[in-house]
Amino acid sequence: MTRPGLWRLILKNLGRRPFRSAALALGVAVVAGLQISAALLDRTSEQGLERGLQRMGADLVAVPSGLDRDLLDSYLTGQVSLFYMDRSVRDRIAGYNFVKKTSAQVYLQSLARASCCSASNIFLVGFEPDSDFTVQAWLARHPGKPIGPDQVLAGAGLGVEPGATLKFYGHDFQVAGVLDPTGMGIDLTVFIPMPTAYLMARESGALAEQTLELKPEKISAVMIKLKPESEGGLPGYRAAYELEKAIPEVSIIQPDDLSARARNNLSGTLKTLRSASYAVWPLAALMIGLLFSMSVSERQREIGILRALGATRWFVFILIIGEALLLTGLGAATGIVTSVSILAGYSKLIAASLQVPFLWPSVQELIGLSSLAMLMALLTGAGAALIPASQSSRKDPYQAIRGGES
Amino acid sequence: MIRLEQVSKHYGPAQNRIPAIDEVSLQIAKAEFVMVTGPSGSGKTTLLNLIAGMTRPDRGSIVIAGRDLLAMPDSERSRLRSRSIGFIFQFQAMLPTLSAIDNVRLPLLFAGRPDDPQLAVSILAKVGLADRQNAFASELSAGQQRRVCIARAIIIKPALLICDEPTGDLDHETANLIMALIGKAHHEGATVVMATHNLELCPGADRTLRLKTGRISG
Repeated sequence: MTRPGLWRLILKNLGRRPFRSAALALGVAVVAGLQISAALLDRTSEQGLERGLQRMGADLVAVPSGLDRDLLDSYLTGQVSLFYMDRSVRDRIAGYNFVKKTSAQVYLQSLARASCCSASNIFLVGFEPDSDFTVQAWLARHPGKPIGPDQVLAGAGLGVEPGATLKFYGHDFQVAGVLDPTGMGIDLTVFIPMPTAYLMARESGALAEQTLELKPEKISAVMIKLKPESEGGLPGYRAAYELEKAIPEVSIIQPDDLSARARNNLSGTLKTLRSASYAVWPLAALMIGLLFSMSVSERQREIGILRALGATRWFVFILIIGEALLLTGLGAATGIVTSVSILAGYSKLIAASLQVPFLWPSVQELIGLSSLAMLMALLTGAGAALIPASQSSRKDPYQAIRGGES
Repeated sequence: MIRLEQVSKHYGPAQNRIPAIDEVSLQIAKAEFVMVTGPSGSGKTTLLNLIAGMTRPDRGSIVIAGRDLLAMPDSERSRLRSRSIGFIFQFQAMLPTLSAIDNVRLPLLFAGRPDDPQLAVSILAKVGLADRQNAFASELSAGQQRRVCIARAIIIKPALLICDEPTGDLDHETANLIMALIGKAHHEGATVVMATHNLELCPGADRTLRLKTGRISG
């Protein structure tokens, strides 16, 4: 038989008005859910961007003029962008003394629902194994055999394992490695050695259901590594300006552009979530305050009886604050678990529809963000119940029994 | 045991203060049984609440067992009530969310005493409710609820038992039973101060105080 103590009184008091308690907890759940959703969306996109920018590995990327946004969207969403420019552009860029390295890439797309391709509409990126410093950098961090001519690197989102065979335009490739996830569209990309990409195009007439039109003198983008300023290099923005001025047929992308693009895509949603959260938060606090005032007012005589039996003012204060904490805690836990579950279940859909990277933070960080949302809910609950708790506990027992007469 | 000197207590707004207790001085000895009578509104309930430290007077002093009630901080007055004072209200005062036995056990918590369900059961048996220990207020009659409240008041063996019209709305038989319980507490050494309209119920009282418009008239 459990002793009738503080927690039992708290539970019993909350249980006597189940609908009111549930409505209040639901209000807090909505607020906490909005809060954690905004924080997680912000963090998952930031995490994805960090990883994506790391993977980009280039200080600048040159693409045909005016198509910079297309490439940024490809990076973020995995949507295929096909554009080409003359290979000579790469040589012109390499000629500038502030440029340290350049490497070309060519962009292709696998055929849809064709027996000659393992997967439909996959973004295929041909890269130059000899000069590449983006994929090579990944290989350097994950030492292994250098990538062979018929080997590819697959994005983490494709769900293939190293050693698996992929077929594009009738050409078989072995997966040499799977890239770390970034939560970005490039997770859905397959990286093919560029000479093999041109070979694949040449052979496609015979092996594939549709011929791949790709001329060896065409490339899609030039990855640029700048010299450090101490070695006569230029800062990124300055180098981009110089290159765009000198080579009008290119647009230059800086890593910050990718960040800005993702932030721009996300800002509307974050603003909506945060605004809703900020708007609902004071309303929830007001609702908690009003409902607790009502509840305490209804129970004034009982509180007086408790005081007559010897309960201290502190006991009464903690009783009311405890009710608020338990209710807001349960509401916040519900909101947090629901929001995290929805985000986890629909992460791909959310990332695609918002066009942002989506990479889960570590478990510790997730616990930290959830704890923060919980703490804010608890503080709101306790803060809102502070006035009724304080007013009620300050009354003399007889005054409370008489219903607050003075 | 109890000494009140020039105690006054008023209600209402400052410009229209109504005296509930007006310049009352009295002494009640240890183990004395004192009845307080008077018409409705004469200040009986206020007087009992002042003695129990449940409200503060506007003027005067109240001394219980040699200690000045008004000089005590609220926490100490709460401790005094929890350990030494049992209060029987004139209204149904069972806590509705707790069963009869939990109502009876609750004062032990505030008195800082170990929980003792067996003691609570035996006290409930004394008031004739051993078989209703798990019932809630909504499942008990007015008389049964009143008996639960008496059990709750006496479980701490209070030195001072204050009863405010404990039989007001009860039938004659139940009223007699309740008076017998209060009488038993008195015989066991408790000082009893009881407000009532019905003088016939309590032939064993040592003294009767008559209140009229907040003053002792006899």
